[in-house]
Amino acid sequence: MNSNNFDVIVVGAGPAGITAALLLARKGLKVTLLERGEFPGSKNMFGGAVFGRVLHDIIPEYWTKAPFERFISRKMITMLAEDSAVSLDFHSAAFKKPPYNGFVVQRTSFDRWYAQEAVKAGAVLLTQTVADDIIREGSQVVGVMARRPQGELRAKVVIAADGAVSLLAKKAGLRREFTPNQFSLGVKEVVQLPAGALEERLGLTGDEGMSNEFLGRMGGGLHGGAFIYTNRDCLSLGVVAQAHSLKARKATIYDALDQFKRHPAVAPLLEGGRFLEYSAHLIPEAGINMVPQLFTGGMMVAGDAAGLVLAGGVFLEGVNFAIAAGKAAAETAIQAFEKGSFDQAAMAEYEVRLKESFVLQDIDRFKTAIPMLLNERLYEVYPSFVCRTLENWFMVDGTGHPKLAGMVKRLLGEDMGLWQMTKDGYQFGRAMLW
Amino acid sequence: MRKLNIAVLIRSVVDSRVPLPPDVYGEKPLPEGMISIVNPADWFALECALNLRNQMNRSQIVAIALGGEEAEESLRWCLAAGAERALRIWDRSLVEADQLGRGKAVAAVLTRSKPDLILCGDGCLDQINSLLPGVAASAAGLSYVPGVARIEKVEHGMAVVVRKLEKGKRERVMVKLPALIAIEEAGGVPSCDADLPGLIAAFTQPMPCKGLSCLGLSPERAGSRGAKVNNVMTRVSRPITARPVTPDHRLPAEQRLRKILAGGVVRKQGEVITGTPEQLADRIIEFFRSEPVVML
Ligand SMILES: Cc1cc2nc3c(=O)[nH]c(=O)nc-3n(C[C@H](O)[C@H](O)[C@H](O)COP(=O)(O)OP(=O)(O)OC[C@H]3O[C@@H](n4cnc5c(N)ncnc54)[C@H](O)[C@@H]3O)c2cc1C
Repeated sequence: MNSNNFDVIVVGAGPAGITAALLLARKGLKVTLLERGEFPGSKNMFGGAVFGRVLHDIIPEYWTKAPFERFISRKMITMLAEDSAVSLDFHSAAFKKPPYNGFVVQRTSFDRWYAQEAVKAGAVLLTQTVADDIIREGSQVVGVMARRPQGELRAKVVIAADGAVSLLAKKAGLRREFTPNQFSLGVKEVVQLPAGALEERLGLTGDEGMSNEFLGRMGGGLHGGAFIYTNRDCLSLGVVAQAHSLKARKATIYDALDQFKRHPAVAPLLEGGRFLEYSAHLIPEAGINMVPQLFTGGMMVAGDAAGLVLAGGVFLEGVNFAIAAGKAAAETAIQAFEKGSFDQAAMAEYEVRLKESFVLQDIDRFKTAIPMLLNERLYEVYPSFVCRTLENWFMVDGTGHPKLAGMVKRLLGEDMGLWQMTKDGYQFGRAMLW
Repeated sequence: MRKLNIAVLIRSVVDSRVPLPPDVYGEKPLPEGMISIVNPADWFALECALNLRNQMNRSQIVAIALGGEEAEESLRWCLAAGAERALRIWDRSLVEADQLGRGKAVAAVLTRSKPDLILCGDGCLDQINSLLPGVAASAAGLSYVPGVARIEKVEHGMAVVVRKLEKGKRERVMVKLPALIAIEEAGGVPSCDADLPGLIAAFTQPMPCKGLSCLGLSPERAGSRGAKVNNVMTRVSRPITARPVTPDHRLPAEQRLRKILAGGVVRKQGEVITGTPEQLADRIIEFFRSEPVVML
């Protein structure tokens, strides 16, 4: 079985796995990248924004090579109440210039392109190949079992980058069973707009694009958020709901998506649109509490598989974290080959590298956001409170404009006490501000 | 008995069965990032070749493709599935060649490698390279039998095949080898259940690529400069829009979650219904009621 031997096996051709395979192949290591889909990206979906500064380090000026839809020059954050909405609308000149802040991409083409870069560097990509289990010798991981006849595959190092419900991390005993509190479910639709409609409705020219993240009470009483991203001629939009609220409310996420599409802040954007595509995926959202043990002898876990996602209300970043984690894993493996040692101590370097990079620093910094995100008043009370306050304030109905303070107090009284709001304010502050 | 050499022509096509990037509907050239797959009918032809080889112990299969990187990947899958050899033809001057030029290039390969039997799919999913086999056969002076439903036998330098005619008619044809036989796809998705060592071998071995000069052809004869038909714009067929698969709403939330987790691109789905004739009739009427097709 000599030809079945590689230096490194990477499982999962998402951003984490491809990055690892690319960097290892560049160093001349024999690396194979296993992907269960028909091609890299065929099974992958996400909202749409790649924040590519980390990619720029790996493939300089990647935006001249990667298939992207638009760069994001306009970032919006919107609070949704039942039939009104308040937005923060940010335009930036800096976001319009290289190296840009972020791009909207389609995973089917982006992952495919990125994987080809790894193949050109010398990585052996095997698609339609599922890794079912790991192979151990004592406490050392020495390979994986692929779901194919004679599927035994051996290597000095295995990098598990197999996405949110990482089977391999579980098989290696690196994580416990998940609970619904740890995940959100995202569904996404792509809607094709009539020619020119997108630019006109969103005030965009050329390759400029927009991202809009929504927070509030979704249809069916689900807690979570929603998003809209601009592709070239179509919009990606979707709803992300916490899995525990799906379970508790017995609501369906499709209803939430439907209701989102009918919301007065959203419906006009979609007017005349044609439905193109539909997909669903899990997001690990429990932050640092969910991160499994990141390594064991001969094995590292990277990307969503390791819960390395920043999903904190207004942030939904995973691809940049996955790329950075893939890079750290590759660097650790390269060092292990230089030293000729692949045991647990050698792999421990991986965690050190992650702690030195933004990956674990951000996730640790925002760990206080998790209780805030699970606070139901964030969805049930505040968005509609803010919207009603503004509605009352802006309403010209002949009764005169009240001063804001009095009105806030009155509306607040209807929902809850000032004390509660102060406490939540403190929780919000700890989560986001300091 | 002499060894039977089988060549299979493999074309890569744009997969129009999945949602396509929206650019495709505009007046623009094909954008990058569209999904290129092995033409399903050609894959079926390869499967026929593998079956033939299993029946006749002395034969070998070479897969031949004309194209860039995407063709290389297609050929590697052919090797994984069991083809002995693969040969890619590509040349910069073929990018803008017409079907005549491409056909001549394939003919040159066939003339040099002298296979006994050449198989390919009848038609292309994206319609773009459908003329190629006919042109290649004529340029190489081979018999050409299109519209073949199945190959009955190959022996004594002859092949017996069944052709599909209009209105379900069939004809049995005997053709002298060497011949190019275009086989109609019988449905199904190309899949590959190769074993892992075979797959790794297919994806790690060097893949020869021949340019026009290796085939004794010049760009003037086969390449863009010789093209009589120039492609100004390509637009692929509209996708067959996929119905979103939404899990049964009667299932508990957790099971529904599990069902949709697979995610990804959804292929066109059909529904197979079973039951007594009465149940079937009810289900069909219900279908027509729920779809805005007819008024009932
Ligand atoms: C609705 C939604 C919106 C999002 N929006 C954004 C956004 O706007 N910006 C952002 O940065 N992030 C976003 N994310 C998060 C982002 O998509 C992920 O964090 C990122 O894709 C993680 O990359 P990865 O390589 O770790 O895993 P993945 O991209 O999930 O890749 C894992 C790969 O492994 C393969 N695989 C799995 N198991 C096996 C196996 N056993 N054998 C072989 N192959 C296997 C899969 O097919 C897949 O290709 C979003 C996520 C969702 C769900």
